[in-house]
Amino acid sequence: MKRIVSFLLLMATVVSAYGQTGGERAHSVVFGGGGADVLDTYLSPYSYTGPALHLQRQTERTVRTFGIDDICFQTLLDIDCAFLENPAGNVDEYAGGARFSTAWLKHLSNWKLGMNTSAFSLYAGPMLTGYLGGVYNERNGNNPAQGKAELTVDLSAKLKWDFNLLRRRMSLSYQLAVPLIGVAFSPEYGQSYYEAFSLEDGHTNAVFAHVGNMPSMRHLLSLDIPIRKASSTALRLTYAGYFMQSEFNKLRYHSYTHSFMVGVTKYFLRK
Amino acid sequence: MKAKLYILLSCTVLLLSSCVKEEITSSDTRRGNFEALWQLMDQRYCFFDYKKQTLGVDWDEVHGRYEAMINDKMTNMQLFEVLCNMVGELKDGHVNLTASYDLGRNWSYHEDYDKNLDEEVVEGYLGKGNDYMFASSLKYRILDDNIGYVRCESFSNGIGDGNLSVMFDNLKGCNGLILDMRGNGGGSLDTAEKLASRFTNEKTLVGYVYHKTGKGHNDFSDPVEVFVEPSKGVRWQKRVVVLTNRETFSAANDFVKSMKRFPNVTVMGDKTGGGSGLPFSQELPNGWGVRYSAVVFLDADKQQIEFGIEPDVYVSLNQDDVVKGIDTIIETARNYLVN
Repeated sequence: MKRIVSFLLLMATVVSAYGQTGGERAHSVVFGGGGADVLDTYLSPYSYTGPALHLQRQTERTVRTFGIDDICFQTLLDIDCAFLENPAGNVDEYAGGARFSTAWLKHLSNWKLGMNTSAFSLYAGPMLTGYLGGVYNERNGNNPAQGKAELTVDLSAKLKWDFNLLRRRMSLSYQLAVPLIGVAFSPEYGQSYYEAFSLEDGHTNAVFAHVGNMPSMRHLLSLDIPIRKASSTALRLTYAGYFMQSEFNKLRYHSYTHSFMVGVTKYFLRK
Repeated sequence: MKAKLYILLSCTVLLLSSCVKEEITSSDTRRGNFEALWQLMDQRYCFFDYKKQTLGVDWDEVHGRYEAMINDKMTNMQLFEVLCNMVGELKDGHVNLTASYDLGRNWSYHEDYDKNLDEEVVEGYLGKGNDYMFASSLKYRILDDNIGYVRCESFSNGIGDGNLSVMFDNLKGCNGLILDMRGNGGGSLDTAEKLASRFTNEKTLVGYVYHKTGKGHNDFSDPVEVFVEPSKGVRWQKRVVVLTNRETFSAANDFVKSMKRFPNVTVMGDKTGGGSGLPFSQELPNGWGVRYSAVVFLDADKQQIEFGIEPDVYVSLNQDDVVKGIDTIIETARNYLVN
């Protein structure tokens, strides 16, 4: 397991450090809220639901990486928290975390429609994602919280539609990310954190994650509306639907969140 | 290109169809809550085999017997009583059912025995005002015959390293030490271990611990050794008598287990109350909390201590002494240490 972690970290370092030539850039920040449905059978047999807050920062840049042209180098930072309640409505739970992803999406194809005023672009490529978070149940005694830590290699695809409307060049994009393999932290079925940390008996807590035991996906739908005609600043409306699931060490977990966010995108022209 | 899109869409459909859902799906009905509790305990409680050997509890048989008592017309309180009685069959002080109006419990581990503790008499030994001192939650005093007396009522509150060092420094001139753990219902294992670390000069194997790894009654991890390492602060080097009764439970039971491994320690009083399982919490569809033993602690000989630890010297509280303000167990310990 240590080898897998080392390999993933090494890969992240090497790939991030590899020469990336400059190109068009776009930075966006959006913030909003929605709802969450969280199940963690280490804490409770039942799903907790409630409102959630979500902050997302995204950067995109067209680069040449590993000798391949037209790569959309993307970073995504998600910070979210949810305020949850059990089905009976008498216990509160809090969930939250931060997820950072870097993706290298190859521009695969382009379709232009009608007088070249509208264009679809398809991108796909690998994504490296790290997640740190946790769930805290306010009633439980010796199992009050569950820590979450994951490092995964994902597959991501993005479909972007640029079109003209109201004399503005708008952009609608949909992106899907699916974790393929990685490593994650999980206590064993009935293991206490006292054993894992005070007694340092944590050798079984790093588990190999794959599509079979972590069938998850993240959907992002964003619409950029330039504030003025030909403006380099756009209003961004985003829907994020994150369906994260796992079954490690016979412990079941899911976190389904739907977030509607609003923010801005700033475009930087090629220098 | 179309092929790639089809693969991507197929993967998405596959992922959508593989939802990770709740395992226990009982509804919030009388029968649903009963089934949820039985199933939750069946999958997660760690002492079924031991309780079958010692108490003859057959969890499947329990299901059949109690299922017959469940009906849709019973009130919440009646359901609560039946469910409490069901889990009470395990005679485990760490098993509780919690509703907004009550705490379901089986405290037979101490209620069925003599208390062997009179708080007023103990207060007489500690004195009043500034007669005794505090070291975090510990109270201590030097008795007339130059024996140190430390009252440890709980491990629920932390004890500072500095407080312990000052206390042992203050007691260093004493000829012996009485550590009164009677009535200590437990608390933090780390706090218990911190106190135990003041009584050993070398790393000592004090027991083993293992946990459930699956839903089967015998799905357990391999036992892991538990050691107590000597504190870097002031350590007690003279003789110690640890006083116990049936209320010495959970983390306090674990503390006694560790202390018995040290050469200068003698345990006096009654058998401890046990409670060697580390409790976890879960819940029922109606929101009632469920606490149950999830992790097993064994002694250094890999023996169960769920039903308590025998003292080295059995001593009971004499009621004639109590009337005179004398604690028979403290006096026996003093005589032992003085002589």
